[in-house]
Amino acid sequence: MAACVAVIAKENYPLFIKTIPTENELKFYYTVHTSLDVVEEKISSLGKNANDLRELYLGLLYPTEDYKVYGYVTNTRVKFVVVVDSSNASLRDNEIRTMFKKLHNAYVDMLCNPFYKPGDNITSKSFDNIVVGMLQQD
Amino acid sequence: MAAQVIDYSQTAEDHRSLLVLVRHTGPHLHAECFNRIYERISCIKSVRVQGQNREICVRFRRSYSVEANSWGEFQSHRKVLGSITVGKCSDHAQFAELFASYSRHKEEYAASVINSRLVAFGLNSDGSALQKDEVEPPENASVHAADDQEQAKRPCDSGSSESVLAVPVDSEKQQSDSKFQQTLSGTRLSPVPSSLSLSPSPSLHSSLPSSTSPSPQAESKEQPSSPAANSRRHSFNSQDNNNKSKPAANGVATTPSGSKSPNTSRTSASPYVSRSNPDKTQSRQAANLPKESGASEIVFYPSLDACSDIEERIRDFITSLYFVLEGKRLDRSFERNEKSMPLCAPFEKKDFVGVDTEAKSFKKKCQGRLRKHLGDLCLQAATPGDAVLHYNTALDILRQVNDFLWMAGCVEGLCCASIILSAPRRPPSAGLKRNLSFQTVRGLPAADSRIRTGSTYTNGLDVVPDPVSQPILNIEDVVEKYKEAIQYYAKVKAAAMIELEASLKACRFLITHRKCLQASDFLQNAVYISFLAQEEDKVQRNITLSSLYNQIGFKRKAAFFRRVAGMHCVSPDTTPSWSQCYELLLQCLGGYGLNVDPKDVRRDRASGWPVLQYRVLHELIYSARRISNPHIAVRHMSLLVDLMLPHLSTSDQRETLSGLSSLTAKCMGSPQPIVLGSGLVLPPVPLLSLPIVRSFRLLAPSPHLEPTKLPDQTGTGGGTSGVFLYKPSSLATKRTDLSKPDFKWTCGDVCEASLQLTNPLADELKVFYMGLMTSDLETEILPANPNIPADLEPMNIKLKVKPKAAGTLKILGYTTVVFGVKSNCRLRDLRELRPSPLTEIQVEVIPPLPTLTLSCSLPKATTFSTLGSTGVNNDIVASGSAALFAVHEAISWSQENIQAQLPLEPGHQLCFSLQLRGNSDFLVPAPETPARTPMSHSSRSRSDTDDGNKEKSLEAVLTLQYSGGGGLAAGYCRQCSLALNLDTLPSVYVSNWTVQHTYSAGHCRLCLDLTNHCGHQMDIHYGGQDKTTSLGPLQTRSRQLRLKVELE
Repeated sequence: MAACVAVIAKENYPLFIKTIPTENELKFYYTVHTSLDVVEEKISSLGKNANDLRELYLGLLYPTEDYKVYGYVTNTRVKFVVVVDSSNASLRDNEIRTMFKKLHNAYVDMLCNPFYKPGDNITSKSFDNIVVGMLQQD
Repeated sequence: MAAQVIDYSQTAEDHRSLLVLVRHTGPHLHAECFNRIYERISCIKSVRVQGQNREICVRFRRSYSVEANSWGEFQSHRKVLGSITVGKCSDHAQFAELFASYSRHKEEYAASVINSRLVAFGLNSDGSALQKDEVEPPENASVHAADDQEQAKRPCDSGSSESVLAVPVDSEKQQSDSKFQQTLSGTRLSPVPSSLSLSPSPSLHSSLPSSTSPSPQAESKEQPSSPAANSRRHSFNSQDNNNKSKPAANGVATTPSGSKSPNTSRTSASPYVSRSNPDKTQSRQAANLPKESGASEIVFYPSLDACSDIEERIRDFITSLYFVLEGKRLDRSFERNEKSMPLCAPFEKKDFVGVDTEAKSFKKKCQGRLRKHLGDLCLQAATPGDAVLHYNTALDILRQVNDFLWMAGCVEGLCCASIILSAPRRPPSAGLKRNLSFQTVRGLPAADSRIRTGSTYTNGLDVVPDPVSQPILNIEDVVEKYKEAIQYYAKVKAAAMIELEASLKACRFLITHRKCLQASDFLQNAVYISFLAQEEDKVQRNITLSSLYNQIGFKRKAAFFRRVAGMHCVSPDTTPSWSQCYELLLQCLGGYGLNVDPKDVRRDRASGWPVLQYRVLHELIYSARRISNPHIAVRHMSLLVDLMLPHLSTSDQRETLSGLSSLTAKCMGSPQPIVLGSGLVLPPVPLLSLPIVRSFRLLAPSPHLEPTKLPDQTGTGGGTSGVFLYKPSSLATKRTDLSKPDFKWTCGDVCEASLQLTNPLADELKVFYMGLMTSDLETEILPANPNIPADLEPMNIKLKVKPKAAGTLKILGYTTVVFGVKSNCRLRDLRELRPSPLTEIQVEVIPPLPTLTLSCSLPKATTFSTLGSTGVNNDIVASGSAALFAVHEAISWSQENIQAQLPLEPGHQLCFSLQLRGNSDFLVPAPETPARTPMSHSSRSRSDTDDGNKEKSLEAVLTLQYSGGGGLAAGYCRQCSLALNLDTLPSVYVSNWTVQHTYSAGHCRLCLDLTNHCGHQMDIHYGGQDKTTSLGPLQTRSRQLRLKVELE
């Protein structure tokens, strides 16, 4: 389903990146890295009315030739980026949303671990399992 | 610069500009000179047409591909309208060459060029050779011109549009304007033909001996012929005369002096036109007249410095272009029904072969395309309002026949027109203009009034600005329109380059309105437009994308595309340009949070993305190696090691470090900044983490070498301590301030700093050189070369330095050579340093002091317990121990003896003897001592002996203070001490004593039992000099002493 799932810290360094075709990992690194530009732009354009309840889901960040990049930002500015194969037409906006919701929940669960220091790389196995599940689904 | 098909720098505003090609020709003009000229010329961005409220924009290009030019029919701003050739010649033969190449240039773009100029340097402004006979050159020039004029008619004198228009009529060459020209000659709707013969004539006839007052003459010649033209179209006259515009023939006719004068005065006032040799040329010209116009294409200047009016000339030239365009525009609007072939984009040409020209759709196409072209012309002629009208009409027509490409062209044109209309314009300085026109309209004020009354919309020359009634699209609409246009373009494969340019134009427009996200959408689209392109083109495209992304603040994207551009530079199927690749990669560092200066890179995790950073740096190093500048490669490799080391796995570490070693084997890394050809400075990259320095501390000299202040001789005493013994403030600072140690170093002595090093690598770290880095004073560095084992245990080393002058020495850091890279590690850059980073350590160095070696003939003391360990007096350099038999008076020396040997010369020695005696009271240790009389003070024993042990031990320290040389002058001295360990052996003990009464009251007898405790025979003298007894070891004898006791 998803080709790459990334969790990016508030300061824009990666906390966690997992890709499914692992041999082309670097390409996804570049994709996710460049998508941060769009994320930042979207956040800053929204940030003006900060009091409003912000929509966490940012929608399609940009399409590439083979993939579509979606973004999601938590209230603490932790970014989730999901890269989806663009040939997969069955994926609707709603599915992407639920994917992010799931990812967010997993992240929150992981964060509840008292031994995890926010800002460290995510090494949690259960989080990894959930992400792997998202990557492999169908 | 190679000509490229795609113009990546185009903006929407460029749609209204006239394209002029400026070219360099001939071998005699230096490229730099051409660049200077080009810069001067290209400063002209726009030209205001005199008498009209029009501002004509112009774009100069040095090269333009013919292929791009062929799209000129589709969008007329892509068409080369004017051609300026710049060359240099010194004689006629060279001029002939020059002229030939000029003609070739014209030929190349003949399909679109309206007018052209040859700017020739090296000849006098009249065309004569410098400092030569002035007869020949002009002749030559005019001959050439005359020859040329047959083939290249159209050009004419500056600004005189009528002559330009005249050209097509008698010239056989029909260019893209063929239809238009047919119109001209066929229908004679325009008044132009009448002026054909006229316009050259003023300029050429006015080849008077002196060109000071040409206009009256010119006019006088014009007048006779003008009425013919004049009679045709009266409607024009009214405003033309004042506007002095394109159908100037009318102007000439009606108001000869008024309207014509600007033109003629312009031409003739500039004396550089080659017609200076009136007597000779006049006859020829007269013969050739009225067609002679070639000469006016040529502008002569003696040198680059003497072409002050070149801008003016170019402006005139641009104006002439404008008048032609204006003529076309107006003409087109009159009749558009007689087209047999529609305008077409270059790839469409074959599509129209054999098409039914009578079909309705075909006609519509012709009509619509023509309309669209008209819109383009309106834009160029600075009437965007009209353009909007035309575009809208064209769009309606073309929609019916699904002519997508041209529909897209219309939509894009609409956008451009809207952008141009909404762009803030400089308020036209109308008052000034009118004044100008008043000056030209000599004595005919009536003309002025006629302009206003007679201004009509049809001829487009109205003074009133563009009709405001046109709805201007707002930004959102423009974006929508652009999207629509791009959609249409996308349907036509062959128009990919147009689509790309449109995307970029839309993006640029959005950038100016700060709509970053929307701009990025257009850019994103531009990325995926695919067409066959040269690698060079791809590079250019990626660079453009990158800089546009940069402008909308997408730094990462910008970096990505820079990198891609760099990769394209060296793609296998081209001749790789590694230096360009290197430059591009260098520029992309910023997007990845990197910088060539390690100080500017954030080291915390926030910079992030080490995977990408490692990759980019690797590519950078590779390209640097390929441009065969090992210094740069080493520099970047050091940066990679410095930045990435903490992020690398063990195997990557080994690989990277071996890479660094192999690079430095060829070229050692230096601590000097490298200046690149582009002016960028690569600052040195010190390898601060190889090894990591955890602490850096200067060591005080060892106590016997440490200088102390000599007691103040002046007697003021106290010195700095003041009246207070305790100062809380000074105590507090003393403890923390590492940068100003409270000790002093001595010049000429080896001084030390202690460092604690850690090795971050998994292997043993060999430091080939490690020394202190100092400044301000001359020093001799005594380096170390520690090998630090792989474990993370800190290792302490000492770095030594020998100051060679007195003063304040600054310790800035240390220098290392690791893996062939020499690094100057400054304290202020050390992040791992505890406590908080120092900037520098300042230590005072005092003038040299002598050093004494102190030795003692006694055997070395094995134990010296009391003083040495307390640390109070640790300047002891020598020690001696002696076992002495107890006698009186412990230590003494001869002051006179020492004084006699002072001063002590270098290398000499001073010997003095120290008299050591055991000091004891000869009493048997206390417990056994019976206290017989209370008056006896000796019963109180001061002996140190332990119980049972009868030996007494004495420790003594002999301290020597000495000074000399510069140190003495500065008031410093050294001190060293001799430790003495004296064991006092018991000699003779008084074991018992009694006082016996004698017969005399004044005497008593003291009876002592003496025991010899030493192992030797002992002679005891007692009772004066005469009595002697001998005592063997451990013998006890009683001896009597007669003492005189005086009792009261």
